[in-house]
Amino acid sequence: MIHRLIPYGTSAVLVELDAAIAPTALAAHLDDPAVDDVIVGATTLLLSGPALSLQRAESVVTRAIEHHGDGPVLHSHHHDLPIIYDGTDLASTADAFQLSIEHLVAWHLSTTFTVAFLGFAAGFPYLRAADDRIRVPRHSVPRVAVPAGSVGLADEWCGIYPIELPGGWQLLGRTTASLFDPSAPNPCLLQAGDTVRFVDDR
Amino acid sequence: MIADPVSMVVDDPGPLALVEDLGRLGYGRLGIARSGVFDRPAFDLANRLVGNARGAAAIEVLLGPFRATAHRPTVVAAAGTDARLTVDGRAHATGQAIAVPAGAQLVVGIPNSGCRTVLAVRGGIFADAVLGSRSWDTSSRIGTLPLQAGDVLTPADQHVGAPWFDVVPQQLGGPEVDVVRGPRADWLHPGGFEQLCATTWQVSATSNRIGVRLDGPPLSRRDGELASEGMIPGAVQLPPNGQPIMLGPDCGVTGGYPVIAVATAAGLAVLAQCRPGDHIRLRDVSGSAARSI
Repeated sequence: MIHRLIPYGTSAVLVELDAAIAPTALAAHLDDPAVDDVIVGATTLLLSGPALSLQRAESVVTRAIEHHGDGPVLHSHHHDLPIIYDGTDLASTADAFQLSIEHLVAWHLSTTFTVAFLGFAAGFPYLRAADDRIRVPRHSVPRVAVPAGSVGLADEWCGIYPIELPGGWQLLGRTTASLFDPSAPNPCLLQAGDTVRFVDDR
Repeated sequence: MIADPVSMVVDDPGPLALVEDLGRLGYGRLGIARSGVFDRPAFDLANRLVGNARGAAAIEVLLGPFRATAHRPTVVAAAGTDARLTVDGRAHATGQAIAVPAGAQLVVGIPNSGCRTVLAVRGGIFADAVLGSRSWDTSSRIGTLPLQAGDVLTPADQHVGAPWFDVVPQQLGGPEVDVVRGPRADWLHPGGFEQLCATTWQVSATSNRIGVRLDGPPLSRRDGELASEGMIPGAVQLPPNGQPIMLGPDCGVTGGYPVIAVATAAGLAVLAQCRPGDHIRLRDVSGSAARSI
């Protein structure tokens, strides 16, 4: 159900959803002439359009909630991504949880992550673990340049930087997988709903 | 689309010259920003002045000077700032179509007022589209590469009307950026929104198309982080350090800082023209902003 609708500037509406609904599940059902674009968040949808009113946003999302169970099931792909655990924050993150680095790495390698949504940058996945014991804050001052392929943690998420970007996530290691290729028919390797496991690439 | 022969060659792009159009809509779910020209009204005006269809790719010149040599006669127009355009040494104002003869050098000078001059060329800039747009996204680094000396500019065929050679006076905005209350204004301590709009902020040197950082007395806000949610150009984020960041066209599509205000379309165009060191104020137009609720 819709928890709340909030105007977001003069041409967008932020829709807060109850925890029962994954925003990604609705995103594919938001086609409407008044909606130019949709951004999926952890618990929200942001609908944009120059002629988009609160009422219109509410009716579009309500219709999506009613129908999101219909239609073909989106196929979820699984990805095994190679990783080398040489991140600058590996030791400090292990310390923060009073774990050895080996135990932190073992947790990460044994976890199956689900892509909740893409955001922050082109092809950047927000990966959720079923077991969210490991929660770390971001750095208070983001790094100017996080290397491409970096795998990091922030809050309850694991994320992967598709290209070099500024960023504040706690870096555990790097993957050689290419997450974003603008010239490919599907530019993003990972889609919402996919699953990911990391494979030690030493 | 067949490109006409060489129209102009870039001699010197200046600090940054980008091919921009209206950006790529509909890719928010892939984490891809809309991008596109920062000052949309200036872009629309410059294109109309040369008789282009709306949305024809143009050049966003950061400061300047931008220099190019015409290899065939062409028509250009610039808008958004008070930059002086010279064609083989003859000066022209922005806000009008200017004929550039074959062999002439065009210079877009550094403006006194403003930051990003939009230069339109009759026909539009020809370039391959990436994900539906020719725009260069400085964050995801996709689109038409930033212009370099030696780059060849060929016109597309997107002229639809006659150029407008009379000067159209421009309303160069600022130093007030119109904003409305943001979706997370409740993260501010009481009086915070009023303080946001009462403060004279200084544009930080680290500002760019991703975001414009504002320096001034820190605003107090709730502790903690927001679960990542959608971001749009013009959104005013408030990180824990209390220094607002106004997002630009290449901003990340999601973020975890609360958005306490959002610029209107007019406000965003003023923001596009703010230079590091400029002093600006945010004007609350929440009561009067046109919105179809």
